[in-house]
Amino acid sequence: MSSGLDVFDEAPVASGAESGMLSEGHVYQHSGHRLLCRTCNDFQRTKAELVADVTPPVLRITCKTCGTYSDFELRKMGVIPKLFSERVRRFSFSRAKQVLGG
Amino acid sequence: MGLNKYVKATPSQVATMMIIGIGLALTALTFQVGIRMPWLVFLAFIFGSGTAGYYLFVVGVKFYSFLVVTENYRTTTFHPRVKVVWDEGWKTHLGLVFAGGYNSPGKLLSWPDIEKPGGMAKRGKVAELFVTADPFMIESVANTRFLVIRGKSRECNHWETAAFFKRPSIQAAIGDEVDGIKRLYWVMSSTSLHPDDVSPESLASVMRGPSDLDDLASLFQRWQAEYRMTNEQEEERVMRGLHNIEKSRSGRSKAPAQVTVHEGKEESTDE
Repeated sequence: MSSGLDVFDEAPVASGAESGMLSEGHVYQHSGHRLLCRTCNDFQRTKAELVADVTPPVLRITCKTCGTYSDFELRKMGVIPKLFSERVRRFSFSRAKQVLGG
Repeated sequence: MGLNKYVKATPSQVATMMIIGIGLALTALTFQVGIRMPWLVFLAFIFGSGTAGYYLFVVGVKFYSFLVVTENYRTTTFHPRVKVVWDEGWKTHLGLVFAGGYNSPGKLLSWPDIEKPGGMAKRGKVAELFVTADPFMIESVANTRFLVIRGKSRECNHWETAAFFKRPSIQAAIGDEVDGIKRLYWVMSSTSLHPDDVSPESLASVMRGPSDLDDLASLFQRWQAEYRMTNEQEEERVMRGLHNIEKSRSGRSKAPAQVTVHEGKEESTDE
């Protein structure tokens, strides 16, 4: 492990700290923002990668703890969960019908 | 012995406290103080003491209600509660965030207000429910002190809310709490979702920017080509405009000398 304090380091963090200091483990566990993982049922660190060889391209977000991932389609309105993409379209159409009185 | 169950003190200390308490009570009952003051001074005294009390409360109290933030909405919650629900009909996981309650959007409550038994906090502990199309859209900041829902929340109408709460998966998960939920928000798309780290290749692809010097050089070449092309197109457009102006002038003056300048064009218009 490097001498500097790297809270994003993937290596197991050292436990224990000098008196009056936060341990590296504590900093690692309590820093950064986390996303809710459906498998862990808890907030976990995540990573993302762009899968460009599918149409439309998807942003794959993976839980660093358990490896669960979700694909998000890149659309003009933002990213939409791939499994929910069609339902978002239907919801928007039903809303439009309500507004237009159809 | 019975009193000792509630008060952590020796019997002698309890007896001493009782004697002192009874003595103070008797003194209070028999003591009378008469103060004469103008009513304006009395009102000023009441106002001043109230202001001082409020000031001491504001500077001394700690606020504990947690924030829930979406891309277009901000509210608070009594405790940061989230739930993952598997919906059999949609074959997907939904993320639920419980928020709102007695505290209106943005209002902060102190811990005693939240914990008041049978008080206002208990009446409306769950008043707003955010449903995300994927649990990954719910983010925790500062160890769940802030819940950030990465997406634009859309409030559902009465029929949409009723239809959602009738779903078997929702009934099984939060069926007993449905009555307390006054507003339902759906979060479907996100423009700010991001994980802890993004690979440089993905970031470059997403941002459409250069990742190294070669990319930067090719980007400059592309810009130059685009600029050259744009310049040529602009030049052509301006020249076409000049031709049109000259044509219109020549048409109005009907001067044959000017018509000869653009002979080919005039012939085509005459036809």
